[in-house]
Amino acid sequence: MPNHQPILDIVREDPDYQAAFAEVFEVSGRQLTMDHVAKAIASFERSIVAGNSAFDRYYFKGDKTALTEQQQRGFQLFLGQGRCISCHSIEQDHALFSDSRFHNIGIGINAVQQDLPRLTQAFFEAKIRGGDVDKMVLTDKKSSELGRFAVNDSFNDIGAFKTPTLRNIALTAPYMHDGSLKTLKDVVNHYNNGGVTPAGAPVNAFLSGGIRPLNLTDVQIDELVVFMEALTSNQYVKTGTTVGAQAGGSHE
Amino acid sequence: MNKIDHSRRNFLKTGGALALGSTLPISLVELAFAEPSQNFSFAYISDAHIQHIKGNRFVRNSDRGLIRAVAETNLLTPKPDFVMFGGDLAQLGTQAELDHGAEIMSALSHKVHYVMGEHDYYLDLGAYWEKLFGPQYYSFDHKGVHFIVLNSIRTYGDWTYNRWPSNEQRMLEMAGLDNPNGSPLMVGEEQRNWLKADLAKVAKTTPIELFSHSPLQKIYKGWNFWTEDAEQIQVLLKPFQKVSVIYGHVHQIQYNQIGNISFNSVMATAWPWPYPASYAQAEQYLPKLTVPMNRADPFFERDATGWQFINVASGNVDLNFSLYNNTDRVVRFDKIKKHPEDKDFEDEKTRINPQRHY
Repeated sequence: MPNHQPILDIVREDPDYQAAFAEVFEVSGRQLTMDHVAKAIASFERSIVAGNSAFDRYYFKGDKTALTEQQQRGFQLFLGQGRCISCHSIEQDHALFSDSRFHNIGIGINAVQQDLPRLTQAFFEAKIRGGDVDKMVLTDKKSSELGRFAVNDSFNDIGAFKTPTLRNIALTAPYMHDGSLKTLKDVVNHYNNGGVTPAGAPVNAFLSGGIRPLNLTDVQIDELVVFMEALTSNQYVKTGTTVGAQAGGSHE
Repeated sequence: MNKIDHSRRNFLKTGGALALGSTLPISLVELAFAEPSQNFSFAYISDAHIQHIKGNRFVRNSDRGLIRAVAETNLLTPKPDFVMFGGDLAQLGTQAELDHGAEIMSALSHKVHYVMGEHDYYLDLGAYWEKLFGPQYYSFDHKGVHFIVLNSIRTYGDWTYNRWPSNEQRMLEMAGLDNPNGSPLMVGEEQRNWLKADLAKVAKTTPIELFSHSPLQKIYKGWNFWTEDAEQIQVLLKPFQKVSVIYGHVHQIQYNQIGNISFNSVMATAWPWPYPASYAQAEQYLPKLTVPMNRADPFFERDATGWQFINVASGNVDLNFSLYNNTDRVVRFDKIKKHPEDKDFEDEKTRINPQRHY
């Protein structure tokens, strides 16, 4: 989109938007600007609050019955052998389940390993010529797998993507930045394999240091999956149709 | 995080004194150097410490560190002229370790020159290493610079040949730190004579770059950050106008200037050592010039390890440290002060707390 005009056309002409903006901001026609649109979107985003999950009641409110025994075992794995906590952080009084950092966990990058010298060089050269990073990444699937590197030119961040939160994770399949894993069980299997899917595939050279085979059993993998289902906010629990279906996900 | 822009434009910028506009075409940048044949770069990977467990199992952390350095080196634009490996490819000098390390190194698309480390040496005194990589000490010329590789990790003959019931025992004794059974590393008379003869053929104006595993200066004896006959080597190098000594072994950034000789250490891909100054009970001589690295964050398993590419500009070396999960550093030869300097941290006021509490 070269400019904001198409958005302004819609909010100025659509009767529902006209009414809503008139009610809240008391503006219409040319008085209605992108500032109003931005404020409206920001207000909407502030209303999306994740919290009051079974995990929150268990961990922060001390309700020991909020998690099943299987989920509690899953939580211990989350903190321990599964190493999830390293990036999906939990603080003393709140839990974002993200460290807001970028990591290469072997998703997407694995498929372009052989191409990396060509891709990175083409990227450097395009940037020097004044190329637009957004355009390069959004129009070329292979370049998009360069991850954070595309933004900061740092070899540290080749194939690295930002840690997402795990709140409401059971509701947001498919998983990973490219949607390549269908179920939470596939995700745990990927980590259990040390950052590869399927097991035994070659590990990429830029894999983050903390990603390594976890030696989790099938039982433990299921425990981690049901723990993640306990991160669904209370208001979504009833609409969460994937609960239970997750545990039967395929082994890879 | 990233202080070194690996793009061609900034790669050249860190190498020379040119400030370039981002729109300058690449061909113009290259022409802008007064003597383009005198400026080149090479990459330096060191101290991988590949360790065999059993069967086909090796310590994963060491493997991944070396694999990563090799992969990153292959992405350098423009390509370095060659790659150096600074020693300690193996942990306990076995064929399995050397073979496994050589296999990882074979992914490099460059000519590689190897330096012998004590972890490669003390099992069979370099016999298998020689089969894989060639002579233990040698010299070569490249674009007007004379390069010399020494095996600086030998020691007294009596310790090497007469003291230990087995070769494995000898290897383990040399691999230990603060080991009362240890022995100081040295170049030895045989190589000093060879070096003298080799240098006799070189004009005094030719830049010399000497690679050793241990520092050819004395820093801390207990950890063998030390070469017993360092002064005798320095005397042989004294008549030359521009001399750089580059060493591995210490797994940390160190740099120094003694007379005409610049000293630079390179990073390990395996693990970081603490600075000797942190071991306050013993005397140590970390060069005053050196601004220490910041303390490694244990969350990042690769922190305080890395590799480097080295720009050779008119005979002096600039080291560009690529530090995994950390702020990259550049230690550049300052032509006015005539010693290596870290462009970001040399000034006391610009240092950060973790560089004082390592």
